[in-house]
Amino acid sequence: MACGPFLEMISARLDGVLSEQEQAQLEEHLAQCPSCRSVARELEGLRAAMSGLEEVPVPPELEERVMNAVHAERRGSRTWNRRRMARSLAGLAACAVLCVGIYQSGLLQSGLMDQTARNTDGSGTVSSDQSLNATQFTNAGVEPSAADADGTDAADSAGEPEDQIAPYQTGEEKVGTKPRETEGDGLAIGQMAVPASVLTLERLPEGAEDLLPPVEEWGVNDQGQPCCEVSVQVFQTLSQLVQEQGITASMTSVPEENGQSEALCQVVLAAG
Amino acid sequence: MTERELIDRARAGDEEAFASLVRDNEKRVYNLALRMTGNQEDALDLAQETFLNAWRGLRFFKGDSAFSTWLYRLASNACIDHLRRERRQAQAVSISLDDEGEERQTDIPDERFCPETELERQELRRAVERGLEQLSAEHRQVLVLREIHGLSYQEIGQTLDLEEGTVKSRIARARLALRKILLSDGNFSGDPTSNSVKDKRRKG
Repeated sequence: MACGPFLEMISARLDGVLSEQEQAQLEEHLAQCPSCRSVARELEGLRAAMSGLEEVPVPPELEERVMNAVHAERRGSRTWNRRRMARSLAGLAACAVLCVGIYQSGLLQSGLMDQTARNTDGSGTVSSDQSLNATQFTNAGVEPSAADADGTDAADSAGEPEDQIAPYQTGEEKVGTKPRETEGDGLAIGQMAVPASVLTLERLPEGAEDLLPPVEEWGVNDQGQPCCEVSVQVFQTLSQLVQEQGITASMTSVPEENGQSEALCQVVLAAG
Repeated sequence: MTERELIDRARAGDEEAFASLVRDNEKRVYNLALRMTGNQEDALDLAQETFLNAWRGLRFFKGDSAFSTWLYRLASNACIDHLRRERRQAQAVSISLDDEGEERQTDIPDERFCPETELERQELRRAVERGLEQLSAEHRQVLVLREIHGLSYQEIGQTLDLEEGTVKSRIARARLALRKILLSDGNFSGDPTSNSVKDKRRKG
């Protein structure tokens, strides 16, 4: 007995999609086929059982996890957009050239220190200025979610470093006015080929856009991986972000605030 | 606020509106993922992934299907991808609609499929849950959407990007495959040594 087509009809009947003609055909077949009658009854039983399967309550953390991820995405793209605006205001071409020049010649660190001294009261030692700077960066990079919940630009700009120091914009003003461009000074500050600490990341954490130049402008290390040099403060802030966000990373050594405050740290992007 | 309004707002970047959409739909997305993967952790991860994909792809949702259908599609895809990666594809129970009927020439249906006591109903439900996990991903997917989520053939077709005729025959095969699995399960309670109802009751 060729029951094939009737088996599909039995299933379709469960879903109420049989035409009247098909219904009649099926009834006729079932009257003569005990085996198909069995199948029909069993499939009905399975359907009833399946509709009796309980809907499992959703773990309450799902919504939170989703919205955290959504929020992190949004914040990343918005600060990047603002970063783009700030840069175009500053003069994109000049900035780009400077960025490349700065890290190559080691002016990044010196420029940063100058700017720091200028922007604070000019008081205190270098290390205290730099720690103030670190706070500013920490706030910029890791904004409390309350600020973003408004969904307005105003809330975001409070933490934006347009009027703060971005390490890769810093040297811009200083290079022209202060005589720190010489190789000698760069070397004196401790800018040698081997950086004090290297942080190797799989990817940049959220908030890194406020601290680092865009990856397109980074240099390349001996292994051909993108790398850029940063101050100790930025390095530490970055490390903290990486830890908080659970990003795979490795560090060669931990920069000490006192001993290596003048040394340069390096961030490497090792994909995969 | 209607769902349409929530979607428009979320698309414009309103996170609270999206959170509302998440709350409205998380039960169905999570349950689909749970029935597809069989475990809560994976279901949670896949549900999260589904909603994140929804957030990112909101501008691609045109409104020509229900929002829930679109979410089902995202969830289904995520689950199938996950199952393929995990290689948990069950041994595909081969079902040919031609000779299936020949297998059991009997006019006595297996009474375990028609439970009468609450205990028997529980046993059958548990057997069905186990059986679902043994189905191929494609059979499981289509059966879960139809029987547990109540989607019509048309909605399933939209969700999985299939013709309705394909949906119809795939559902039929899935049901027969499940039946076959349960029949070979032997004792529905899962304990191969216990045969009698009395034993089952003692265990229950």
